[in-house]
Amino acid sequence: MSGRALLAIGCNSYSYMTPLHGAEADATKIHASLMRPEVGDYDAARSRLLLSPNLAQVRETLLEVLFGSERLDTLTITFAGHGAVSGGSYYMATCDSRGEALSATALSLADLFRMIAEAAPKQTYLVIDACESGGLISDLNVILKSEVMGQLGTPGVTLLATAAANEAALEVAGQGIGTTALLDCIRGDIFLQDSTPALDLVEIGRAVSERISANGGQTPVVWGLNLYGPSSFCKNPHAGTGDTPLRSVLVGWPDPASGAAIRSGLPDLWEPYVTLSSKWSPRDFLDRIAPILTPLESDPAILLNFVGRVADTFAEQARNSRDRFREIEVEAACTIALLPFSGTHIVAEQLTERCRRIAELTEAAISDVIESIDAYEFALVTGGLGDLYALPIRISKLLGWTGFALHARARMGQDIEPAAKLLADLFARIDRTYALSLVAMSDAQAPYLLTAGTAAASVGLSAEGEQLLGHMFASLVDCGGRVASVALPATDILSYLLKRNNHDLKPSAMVAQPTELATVLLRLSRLFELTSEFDTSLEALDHLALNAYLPDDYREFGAEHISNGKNAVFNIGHDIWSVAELEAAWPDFPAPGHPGTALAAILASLIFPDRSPWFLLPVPSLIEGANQPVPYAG
Amino acid sequence: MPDPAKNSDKDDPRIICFDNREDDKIFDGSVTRLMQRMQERWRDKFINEENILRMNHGSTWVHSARDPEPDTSMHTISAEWTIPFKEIANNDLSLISRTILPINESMEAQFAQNIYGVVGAAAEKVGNVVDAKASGSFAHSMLEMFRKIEIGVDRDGNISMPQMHVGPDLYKRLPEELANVPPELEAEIERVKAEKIEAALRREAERKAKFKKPAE
Repeated sequence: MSGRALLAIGCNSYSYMTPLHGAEADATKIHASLMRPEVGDYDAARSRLLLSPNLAQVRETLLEVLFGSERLDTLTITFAGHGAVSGGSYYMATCDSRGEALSATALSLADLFRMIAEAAPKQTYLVIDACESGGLISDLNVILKSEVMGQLGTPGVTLLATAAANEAALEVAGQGIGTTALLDCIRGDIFLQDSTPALDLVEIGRAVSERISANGGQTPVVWGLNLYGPSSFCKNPHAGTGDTPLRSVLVGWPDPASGAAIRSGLPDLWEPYVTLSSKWSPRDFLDRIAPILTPLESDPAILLNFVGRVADTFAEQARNSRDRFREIEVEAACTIALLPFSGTHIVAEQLTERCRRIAELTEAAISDVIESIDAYEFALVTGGLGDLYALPIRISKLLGWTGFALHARARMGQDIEPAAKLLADLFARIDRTYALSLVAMSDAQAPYLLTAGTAAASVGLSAEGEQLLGHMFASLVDCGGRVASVALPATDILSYLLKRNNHDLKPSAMVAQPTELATVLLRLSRLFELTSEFDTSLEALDHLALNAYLPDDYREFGAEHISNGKNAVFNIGHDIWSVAELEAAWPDFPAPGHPGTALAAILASLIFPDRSPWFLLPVPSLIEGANQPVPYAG
Repeated sequence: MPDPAKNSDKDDPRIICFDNREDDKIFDGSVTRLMQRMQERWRDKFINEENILRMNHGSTWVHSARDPEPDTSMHTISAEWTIPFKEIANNDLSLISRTILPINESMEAQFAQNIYGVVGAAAEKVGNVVDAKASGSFAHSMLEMFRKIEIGVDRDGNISMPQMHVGPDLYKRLPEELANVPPELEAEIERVKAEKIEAALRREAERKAKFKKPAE
């Protein structure tokens, strides 16, 4: 841009009026912001910052800026200080202005308009953050003359006054609230639009007006006349970024501290938001959102409101993904983000509500999966050779999520029949086409099988559960219990598959040691009357180390590393020789106290499968023995 | 590898669940690297690593300081394979080797065909072709071959004897044929070989002598 001049005036010091505290800071911030090439791109040689100037200095500067060299394309004048209407005209007070003699000692807006009309910059922006600044309208007649306006190429003028003609301009924390709102728009913290490369002061003025008016006390006035040509007050920070919905999260926070915390943290969410349809890392998302939530903990209403808005925004974006479960995983991640605060009743209640919604979404997605398989039996084969590894895990996930939907209905006292039918239908499709993919491939399958197995048992899907466990356990024995580690890097998957096919798996970082999946299969065997069959195969798994991570406190259950709790380890052939001995040695551990916390903890295990919701499978009384439906703990 | 993302919803009846395209890409990269390693092992049977040049741009070599060479353009080696979804759904891990090995064999065959084609064309061009039938016997063919070839010297100055690549029939007969070489022909072969070795060492000395030497 060329021929763009900025004159920012801020006046704190007054010889004959009460001093102000934030006007100079306002002018300095506006100047600093607009002078940045990527924001306002004003010409440094023709721009000025005046702090508490006298009238003569202002006039001298105006002469210099307006008439110093060739005609300006754009002139922006901002004024922060005292202002008043006197004798039908508006005056901006400089440091030497006298309240009783404004016409002689202050900068008259009418005079300023005359200078502008004479210098005739193509665009003029005037921002006045001062008391009674809305009174500037009374001086418009100076420029609204046929000899000034209306001919081809005549100037465009836009005015923003932050207070109505009869209002005072307020300061909060040493900064004019009008200037604060203006800067928020310039920086992009208040989203306006992302369709044009530049922002006009009229659209900024509207947003400033809405924001300030909503808080009461001040009613900004914006007025613009631009007969010819495009208008560019500053560059649009959101041009082409497509982050419109996320920006909307910033709007309307009544509490300034919360608003500031959200404003400062929200930029960290932009990257996962923009890339959400193609790239999704729940851990990265939680790492980014957690620092924003911590300062909001003291006000659960704001905390929940914020998470709700982020969840809505991300979920909408996730619906653009080709992944049918992306939206569900996003909603789940937002729910897990609230787990640390679930000690508060209102948060726990909200977790329940969020889980109800996620269960509904899951049921819809599973219905789609079933429909797809019915239309094309290999609908779940979406990779190449890599699906030899991924498909068994994918199928476990589908079963696990369906199990979650069933557990959610049960814990919320809803009719479990629809979810039970879905689980049965899904089992039937898997049995028909994918039974041989019911393979114990990775320890990451543990939470899904635990969730699905307990759900199946709770609704009497015994044959289905028996088949699931039978296939899984047979493949576990076949590979000597050496299922892949949860953290197996994708670079090692081919190597793992080749070794597994050649029965050449040795203990290594590739292999889960100890394994939680084997523990899940053995513990689930009780529910489907498979303990004796499994017991007789345990010798084939001699020396295998089993593990179960049992937390003390579920509020941390979504953390990357959970510091509380214990890892219960059992070596087959050393500590236990049967399922009954495993159950007998099972340590006590707490269950989540609130249904919302319990369901969110299940979600945490479905999103981060290096932990399992063992509270779904409390140790049965060995006296009662048997395969009763699983009671719902917690 | 199939990529459902490239198909429209209407074309692809599959449903993407728990998409992890990064891992899919990495896995495909592992398969490619495995096949690359297998190809390299095969190629090393034919060509010394020191004689392998890798181009960053273009598709042909020109040794402009030498006589024109017959064919230095890029030859594409390709193989196509099909992965039946049913076998993936059945989690048949042997599918990996049953897929990769035939591809590798196909590419090895194409590579061998190319390299024999290039070597054959070069030999034809300079007349280094021995007609086994016209020679009358294996021993005479060997003698004629030694008379026509030039022996090389490796980078350490050692004589590099020629490799023999023979077809399956001759490979079976070779021990017997070698045992039946008449003594006088064997002596002649050894004499020609010694002559060729001497010539090779002389050429190598002449080549080395072309380098500028520091002034004494």
